[in-house]
Formats: sequence, C-alpha cells, structure tokens
Amino acid sequence: MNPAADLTGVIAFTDIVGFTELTELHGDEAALHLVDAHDAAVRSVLVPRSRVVKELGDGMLLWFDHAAEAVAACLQLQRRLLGATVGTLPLWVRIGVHLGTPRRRGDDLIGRDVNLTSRIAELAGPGEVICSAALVQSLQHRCDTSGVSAASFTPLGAVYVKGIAEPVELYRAEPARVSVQTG
Amino acid sequence: MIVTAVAGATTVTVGGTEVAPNSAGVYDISRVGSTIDVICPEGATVSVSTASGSITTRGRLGHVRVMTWSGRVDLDHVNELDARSASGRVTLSECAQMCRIVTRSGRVDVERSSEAEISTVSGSIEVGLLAVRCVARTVTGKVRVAASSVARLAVHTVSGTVAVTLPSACVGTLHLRSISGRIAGKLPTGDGVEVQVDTISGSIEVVAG
Repeated sequence: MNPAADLTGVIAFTDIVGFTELTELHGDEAALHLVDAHDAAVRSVLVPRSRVVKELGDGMLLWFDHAAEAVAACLQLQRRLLGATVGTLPLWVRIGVHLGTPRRRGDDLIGRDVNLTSRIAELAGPGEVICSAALVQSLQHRCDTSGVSAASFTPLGAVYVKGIAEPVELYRAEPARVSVQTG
Repeated sequence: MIVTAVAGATTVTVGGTEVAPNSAGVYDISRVGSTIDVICPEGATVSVSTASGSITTRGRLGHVRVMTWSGRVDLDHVNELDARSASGRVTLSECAQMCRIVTRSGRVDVERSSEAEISTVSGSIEVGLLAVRCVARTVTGKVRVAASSVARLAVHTVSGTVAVTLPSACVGTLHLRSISGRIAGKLPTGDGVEVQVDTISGSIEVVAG
C-alpha cells in the first residue's frame, strides 16, 4: 500500500448478519466457527491489490486499490456464500462498499469514509453488496472497468448518515445479467 | 414525511406550495426538523430518506425507494418497492410487482404483494397474501405468510417460528426442515404451490384452508 498519509481507494465492510443473536442462541463455539468460515471466504476472494485492514469480530474492514476489483471481489464473495452453512447455521453476510480517502494509522484506516462505509453496510441485507455513488461514479468516469462488466447497479436513493451533512446516494450491486442469442 | 399520490395531479406541491423540478426533472425536496407534506401525481417514482422521521405514503405510487434508520415506514399502494430500515417498523398495503424490504429489528407487515424478498435479524415478518414468489430470511423473527395456490415460497430462519397458510384444496410440494423444532404440515402432491422452509430450532406449521 502507498505509504502516503491519505489514500484514495475502496473501503469495504463485511458483517455477519445476526452474529450477536446466533452467538446467544448457539454459543461461543458456533460463533468461532462462523468467524473462521467468514474469514476464509473473504480471504479467498482477495486480489493482489487488496488487503484485510482489520478483523472486527463479526466482520472485516477491507481495502482495495481499484473499484472494479472491489466490486467483483464482493460479488464473488456473496456468490460463494449463497446457501452456505457452518454446521447447521446459515452464514449470511452483508457488505457495504465506498470509494474514499481515509487516513492511515499504521496498518489501520480511519476517518469519515471508513465510518460512512460501516453505515452503508448496515443497510445491506443478507447476500447484498451496497455501494456508494462515489464508487459507482468512479467506475463510470474512469477506465477502471476490469471485472465490472459483470456487475450492474440499481439505485436505492439517498440516505442520511449521522454526522454527514449531505445525503449519500446508494446503489445495490448485482451480477450483470448476460443474454446470449443463438441461431 | 407524508407523500400523497393524487389521481389527475400534474404538479408536485410541498405544504400546499407548488415546487419546480431541477434540471434533471427531479423534484428534490429536503427539510430539517419539520413535517413535510408532499402531493404528487399517481404512479410517481418516489425516493425518501430520513434519519428518524416517519415516512408515510398514501395513494398509488410507482417505484418507491425508502431508507431510514429508526423512522416508522407506512406505505399504501406501490408498484415496486425497496425499503431499508435499521429499527423502524415497515408496513405495506399492496405491491403490484416486487417488494424488497430489509430491516434489523424492525417488524415487517405486508398485506399483499406479487413478489417479495424480506430480511430481518430479529423483526417479525408477516405477509397477508403472497401471489407469486417470496423469499424471507430472519434470525430470530417469527414468519407468518399466506400464499396463493401457485406461489413459490422460501423461508429461512434460525430460531424464528414459521407459519404458512395456503388456500384450501391446494396441491404442491413441501420441503420442511427443522433440526429441533416441531414440524406440522401436509399437502396433496401436485403441480401447484412450492414451499421450502429451513429453520434450526423454530417450529414450522403449514396449514391449507
């Protein structure tokens, strides 16, 4: 990663849906297995220009240098987790993704854009990848499209986030539908 | 925020005052700390966001997108819906096409929808009449769905109980799986409804009639 004080790139939060409730219902051992499975699934989709910034217990903070690679990796993660179970428990994950300029603190990232990404993830349902307009617009304006031909974005409207004056437009990322004509 | 769709209306008013669209043709309305009363044409596409304020729609709207952290959401007739809330309760009278509703602890009540994808963590889910297809996911919330005789229904819970009501003389297939919960439900096999329920410890009850 660039050692500069601040960076422009993609922040992603993953979060195991209902982790607190699942732990309460099924105990710490089951929680450990869920976290391990989530950890392995996330790491399996990381690309060379991405990293786990930190583990958050029931989720992860991720960094990607490129928007297209971030979206592709998050969609791939959700595909892998489709119908996934750990023992008998479902592994449902929600993901929020945002392009921003966080500040570095050692290996950690902090700042407004990190906080915003965390809030975006809270609005995602199980299996969903929710993206900020900043990320989607960067894909449209740059030649940063490798991998994103496989994604489409549905507008969800704007959301007010505590501490941020302007509402933030959000999009739901989905694998693009491909139609094939024969004959 | 109250949005009322009025048949025959051709303008948008806020608190009785007509407002103009921006250069993109969008009526961008934002206010802080007050009730906003909007009147718009029927079938309008509406996007509403609040932090904690309630959101109410009346009349028939087109594509509706709603996001709130803790505000209550009460929607009348919509053509298509995406509603997201952290703790606010979401109620919907009718959706002609697809409704997607995501909450954490907020309860979800849908009177009638063609298709629905609903997820909560602890909020209960109730669908009064599901016509075509429904996917419901919750960790601890209870799920209660009444479905048509041709519906495709998939419900996944961890501990939440699941109750499905089908029309009498309904035929179809049931795939019911609960590891430690009670399962009750039978259906004559045939080409009709398809019900799949997976739960860890919740009980399952499927009733026809």
